[in-house]
Amino acid sequence: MGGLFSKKKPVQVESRVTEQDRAILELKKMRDQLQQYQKNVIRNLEKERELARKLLVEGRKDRAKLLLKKKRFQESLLEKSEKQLDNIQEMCSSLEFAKIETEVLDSLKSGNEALKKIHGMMTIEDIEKILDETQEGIEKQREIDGLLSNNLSPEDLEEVETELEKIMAEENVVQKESPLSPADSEVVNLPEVPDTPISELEPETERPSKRAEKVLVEAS
Amino acid sequence: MESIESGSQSKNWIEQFYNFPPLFTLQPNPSSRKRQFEVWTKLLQTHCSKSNQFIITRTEALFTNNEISRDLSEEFITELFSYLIDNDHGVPSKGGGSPKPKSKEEKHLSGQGVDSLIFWFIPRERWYERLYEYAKTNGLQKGGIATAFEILEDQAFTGMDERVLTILLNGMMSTRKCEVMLANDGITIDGVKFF
Repeated sequence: MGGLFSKKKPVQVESRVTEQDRAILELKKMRDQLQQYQKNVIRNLEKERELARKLLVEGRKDRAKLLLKKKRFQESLLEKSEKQLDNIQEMCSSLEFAKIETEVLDSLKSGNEALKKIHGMMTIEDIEKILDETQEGIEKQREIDGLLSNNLSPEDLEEVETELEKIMAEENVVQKESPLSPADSEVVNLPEVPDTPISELEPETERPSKRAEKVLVEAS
Repeated sequence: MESIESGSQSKNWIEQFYNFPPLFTLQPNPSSRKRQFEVWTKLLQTHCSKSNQFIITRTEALFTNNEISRDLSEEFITELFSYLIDNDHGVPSKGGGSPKPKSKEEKHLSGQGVDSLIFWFIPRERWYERLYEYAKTNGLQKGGIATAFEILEDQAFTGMDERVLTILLNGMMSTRKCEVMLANDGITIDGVKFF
């Protein structure tokens, strides 16, 4: 249970109360005092008014008059204190606002500093260097591309040419020797007829293949 | 049993207990005594929060129940005060809340010689929250300054006096949410800065 009281020990850290805070506090204290004073005066005024009325009823006019004079004086005091209160409140507000302004300034400063730091990290020379390097890289890539395509083309193109010719020649031979026969197209088209049930299809598939053999025999 | 809700049901239950004679007799069994004190704590909390009463004295009206003509003995009150202090329900109202150094034998009787107690009818931490809530509603939570007087004027702290506020603010310092500003005497709190 002894530990329970540990939380009551004032934490010994450096004070976060500044001189300005003290000034504001003094002003606010003054304001409180004035407010209390006003309350007091108002209460007194009420009392004295009542008393004056009583005295009038009792017929002591002089006393009543004196009391009212006193009351008038106190009212003037009240007015004065009102003005002072206004002053104090104004002062308080401007102090607090000035505090906020310095904070704004501070944050602007730190923002500026951060910006500077970031800018410091990338100098113009660095950027130029990086851009140059990038440009160089791109150029190199282009060169490589060019080299590669150039290297490939003479032999490859020749080969491609010859292959193409070969194929074309073969095609020609086939086309000449076996002009498009209906049987041929049937063989090619066969797998593309899917919808008929298998049982019906099976006998039919055998027939075209026989026919195809026949055609081939004929051709050779 | 600190979690007894102050709903209507438990209130009735608590009020029924108040008319239960054994509650006014110090129970010899430690566990029933503890339970007894818990009920008393709850009774005091209900009673004090109704009227925002912060100070409990030995002559507290609640300690005398005329209906069943029972009252608490001096010994009982001392024990009860000890219980309240030890469980952080209150602090001795003298000495500004800083606990006197206690020897080991005295430890279980921290209520001895205590004439009045500052009683937390809601937990201390809740008071800290309320104080910070006050700072927030008045736009003081970022380095704002408030005088002790102006805090005490606020409705949320009706019934609180300077002494109580001093203890609370001193305690609240540990949360780093505020820092007190002392008057020239070094004890009285003039104002507080919220963070």
